Amino acid sequence: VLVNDAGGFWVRRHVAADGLEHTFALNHLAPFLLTNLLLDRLTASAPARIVTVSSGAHAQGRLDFNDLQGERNYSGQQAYSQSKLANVLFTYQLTRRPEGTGVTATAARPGVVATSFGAEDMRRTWAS
Amino acid sequence: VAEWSLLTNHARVLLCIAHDPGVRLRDIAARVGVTERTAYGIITDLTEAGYVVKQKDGRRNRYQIQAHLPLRRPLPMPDSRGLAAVGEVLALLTGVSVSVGAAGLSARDEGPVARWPTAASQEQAMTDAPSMADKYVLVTGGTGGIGKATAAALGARVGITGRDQGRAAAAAADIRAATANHAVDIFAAGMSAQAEVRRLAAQVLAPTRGWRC
Repeated sequence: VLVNDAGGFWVRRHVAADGLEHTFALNHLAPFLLTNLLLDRLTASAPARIVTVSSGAHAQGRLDFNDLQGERNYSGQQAYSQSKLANVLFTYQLTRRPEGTGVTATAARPGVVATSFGAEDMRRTWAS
Repeated sequence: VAEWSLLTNHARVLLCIAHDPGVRLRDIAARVGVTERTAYGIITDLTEAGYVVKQKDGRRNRYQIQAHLPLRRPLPMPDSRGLAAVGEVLALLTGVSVSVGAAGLSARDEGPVARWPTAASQEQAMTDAPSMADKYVLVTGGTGGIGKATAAALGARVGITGRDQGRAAAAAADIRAATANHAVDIFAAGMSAQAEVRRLAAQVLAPTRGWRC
């Protein structure tokens, strides 16, 4: 069972280790890469599950293929919604690929849960 | 700039419903200052988006607001409280907290909704679900929030990842203490770096630890 839960929301644009925008790198590329790296083992372990924690925000998401990393225009909300839409689309595709293998793929929408999610940029933002 | 308002008509309709769940369409239209047809369209939008559940009550409609749902455009809350829910905005405007549906939560009042599973609830989960005894569960971002609660609730051999080794170790200790599940592995990995994702996968796949078929 793989639960892709790690994710984040940043009000300001940050660049991650690979030179990629942080939201896109962490929320979409990381689960995409990890799932693909572990897919053979998951298939061998069937019945198995891949659960990716998305968000209701995916409904406002728009994949801007001309500016996937918000280089021209960054908005935390747009970047977050886009990454969560990518989670859902990735999951849709996953459900097609491992068909008949006993590996299910699910995107979850947890609703609003009181965690420290999105806190990293918050103190500065709300203080200013 | 054209005439504008801080509250959309959708928000105003929702406020009418928050004040009076049995409010009539005619009264909503009058209070918001739109035609009944427009008010009906807005209610349809709100129902389709899940914010409002419509129930027949004799010849009238009763509306139930799903206060736990997030705003359509995510709005971060101050003080690390995540993203704002509709109920929190309504509470600000009405001065009362709006009752929520059975599945909902009042984020402000109740604190984290993900509680540690009790022995009884875990036992129940075990009897309801297929056996997890021989499964390995990897939860990324498992050092806090939803990930940590998920890792604790599953009762399987579990691995959690976190950016910070110390935080991951502390989370694993919490899970072991709270659930008596001692099979908790930690993987320190900053998932926004692809090299670390690859290193994590290699560790998980290594025959000496982690994933079992």
